[in-house]
Amino acid sequence: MAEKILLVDDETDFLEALSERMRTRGMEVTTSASAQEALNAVEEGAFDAVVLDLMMPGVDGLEALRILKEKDPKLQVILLTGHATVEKGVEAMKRGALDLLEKPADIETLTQKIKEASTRHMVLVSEESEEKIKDILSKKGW
Amino acid sequence: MSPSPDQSGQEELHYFGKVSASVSHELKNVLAILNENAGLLQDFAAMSEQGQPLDPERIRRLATTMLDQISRGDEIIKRMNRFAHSADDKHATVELGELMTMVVELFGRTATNRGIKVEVKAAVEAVNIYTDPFALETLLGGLLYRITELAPDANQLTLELGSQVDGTQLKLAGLAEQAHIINSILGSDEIKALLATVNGSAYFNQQNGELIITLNGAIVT
Repeated sequence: MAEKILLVDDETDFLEALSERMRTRGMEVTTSASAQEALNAVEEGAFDAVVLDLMMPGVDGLEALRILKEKDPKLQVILLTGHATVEKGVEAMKRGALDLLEKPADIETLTQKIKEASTRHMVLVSEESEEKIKDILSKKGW
Repeated sequence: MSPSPDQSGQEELHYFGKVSASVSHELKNVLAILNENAGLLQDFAAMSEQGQPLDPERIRRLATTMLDQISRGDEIIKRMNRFAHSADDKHATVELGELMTMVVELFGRTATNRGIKVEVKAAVEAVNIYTDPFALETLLGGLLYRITELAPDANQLTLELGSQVDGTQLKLAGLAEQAHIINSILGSDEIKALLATVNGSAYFNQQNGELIITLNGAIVT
């Protein structure tokens, strides 16, 4: 099954080229040119992972990460950045990012991270479903 | 206690660091776009080897994007180079319009990230002044960084030359709502030290929201 990915970056030439490469590799990709657009996209559709630029006008990547994880703790977020300082990396991990990759990123490494993110998302969703079923069974006493 | 020349030097180094970080980030974005477009060309070549036809128009568009990014990168590096060389001489004759434009361009990415537009209004005539160019750039750049950080609702600023009667004046307009912030910034030791280095003074006009910097250096004709 194709991984459903949301790619977020304010550089539209970057969005266009990387999304095309990801689609060639079998992923289903939606793009957003701002954090706000990304937050709207997450409201509207389900994604296995979000690939998010750290530095964007308006709501920046770290803040967007915080809001995304608040909306859906299961959502897997990979941050992309032009300058990965140790502080930002630590902060990103604290806020629940799966990983932080530096630009320009190697497509094979990114693809690998996306697959990891997708698997982790699937496990979390399935655990949640299992919990719900157990809960229903215990309440109904079947 | 009056600010020491060391404070001016520290502030200059701090500003140089901020600009370098911003420029390197912008260049990383250029490289990332080139990387993805070169990667796309590799993907197309691989697909073509498997019998999929190449679309010449798509290839042309990729080449255009790459050339645009090379030109963008070249502009960024030229600007950084001009900025770095402005620290070569402690005192030099500078054209103020050019200096203001460079400072605002160097601030461009931060301005965009903070949702603020900074415009330089061109003067009718060029004004050359003998001063410490790097300290003056740090003063203007430092003010832009501080103001836009502390007053995020200042969404449109204009930098222009003012009166040239009693010294040379530079005006930063669009700060009507920011009086308390501007006065506190002007009162900081770092800004005072930089003003002393360029033999200047600053005054905030609360009525029209204009910050006026007066430089007492000699105008060179």
